[in-house]
Amino acid sequence: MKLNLLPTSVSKASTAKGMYFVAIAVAALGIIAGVGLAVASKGALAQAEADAKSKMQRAADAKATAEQAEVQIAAAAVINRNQKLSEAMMDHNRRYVDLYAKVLKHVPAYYRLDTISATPGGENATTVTLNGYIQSFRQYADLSIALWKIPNAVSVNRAGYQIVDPVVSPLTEADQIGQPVRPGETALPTDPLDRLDAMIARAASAQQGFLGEGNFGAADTQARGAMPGYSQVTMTVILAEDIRTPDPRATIAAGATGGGAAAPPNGFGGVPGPAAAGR
Amino acid sequence: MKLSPIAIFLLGLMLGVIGLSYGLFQHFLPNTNDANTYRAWGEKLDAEGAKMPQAIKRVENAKELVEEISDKWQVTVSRKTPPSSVAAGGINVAVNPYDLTVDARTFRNNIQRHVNAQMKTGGVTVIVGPEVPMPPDDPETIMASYFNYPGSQYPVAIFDLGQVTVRGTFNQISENIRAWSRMPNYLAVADGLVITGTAPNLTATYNVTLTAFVRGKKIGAPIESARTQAVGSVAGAAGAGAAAGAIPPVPGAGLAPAGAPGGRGVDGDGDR
Repeated sequence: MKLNLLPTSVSKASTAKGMYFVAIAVAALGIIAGVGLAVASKGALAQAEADAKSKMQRAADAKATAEQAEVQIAAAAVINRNQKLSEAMMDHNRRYVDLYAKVLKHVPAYYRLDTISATPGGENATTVTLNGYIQSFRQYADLSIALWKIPNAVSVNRAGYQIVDPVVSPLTEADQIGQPVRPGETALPTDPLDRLDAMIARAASAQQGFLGEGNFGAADTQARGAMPGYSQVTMTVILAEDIRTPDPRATIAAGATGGGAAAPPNGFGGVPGPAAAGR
Repeated sequence: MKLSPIAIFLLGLMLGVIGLSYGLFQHFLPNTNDANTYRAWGEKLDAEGAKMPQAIKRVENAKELVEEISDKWQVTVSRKTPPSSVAAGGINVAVNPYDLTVDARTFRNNIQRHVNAQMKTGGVTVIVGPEVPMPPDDPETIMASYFNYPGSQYPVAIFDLGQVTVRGTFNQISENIRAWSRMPNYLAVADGLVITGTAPNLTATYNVTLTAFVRGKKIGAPIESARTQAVGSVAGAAGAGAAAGAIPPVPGAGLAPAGAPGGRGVDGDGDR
């Protein structure tokens, strides 16, 4: 058996001496690496910052150039609005007559028109109201069908027809045939003598001669109304059309925000030119 | 105190880690993060900078658009705005407010003549013609009430002429309405057309609104300035006679630029 008679501190002291070098080396390596990271990253940051700043001027130039376009358009906004207003005003003057001409193409000859009017109802809605006279219930139906043929017609409504067309009456003791009669009339008796008496009585009570209804026969320019047996009918047609009127007062006032307190710098009424002398 | 080798190694390792950590967390990571941010910003700036050709094109397009609008408006101005002088039938708002009250009446009468002529277009019979409102006598309010300035950005006269009534055939009425678009020197709009009656004697009613964009470079001085100018003129005239013992002129008060008080101003174009 071999005995180690040296104290334990002898071998540990020599090991510890070596370990000091190792520890110093490890510590130095870590510190150097840390410093290296700091220096390298600082350089990269400085480079990235310099790159970005060098690009900034170019971007600012591009933005300034783009803003010039906005400035130019904004400067022309007033005359642009006025021009559009003037075009809209001039264009509008034909709208009503064009609309009426289009509607009248589809108004049948049997509908004697007395009044035509149109009311704008929004961007895509115009109500055309026709007032006139027709003779029969058949025409009343045909008229609606005819007006549905107007391009862009959305709805057609009718009102006012008073039915005067003869209808077949039920049988009575006097009338064994069931002849058609007009509303308000009584059926003629079947017996020939009674019928003759009834017709004489009806003729005696009927108005004779020129009736003078509806201004017919009047010498002046008054509008003619309904002839006897005709009905006054109002047709309302809604069309997908826009006849809204441009409003110069509202349009000009809408653009007056913040303006007007000072004299216009470039004159007014015409195209902006060089700045005029002060007021 | 004696340290074991392990402890010594750990001590060294700890110092190394501290140094590395300091470099990493205190510098490397923040700097790298900032650098990435700068790079991202740089890319955005690059993208913005690359838009320069588009921006230049946009400016060119804007110029063309503005020129186009200006050309159109110039045509409208030449045809659809009243002349810039009273003598030519229009109005010049560069005069002082007192003169403007007189000139505005002349202007109004000229408009009424134009409207009357326009009403007969198409061969219709005028049943009720529109009346152009009279301008106010008040020089204080005439610009605001008659020319809507400074309520609008520029002087503009807008007349709601109300309902007019004409009689004729449908063609005559149609032509009468359409002709408002051709009215010289003024912009007019007709709306609310209602046609009644029995052909050929149709009666049409409609509303007319007339707009007169006033041309000019200047607007007459407000009444306070006109008064100051008038006082200055009087003072200047008095100053001329100061040698004869007259009251000396007020210091700083000048002569009225357009001659004697009450005289008409002249704008840069020589128009009244």
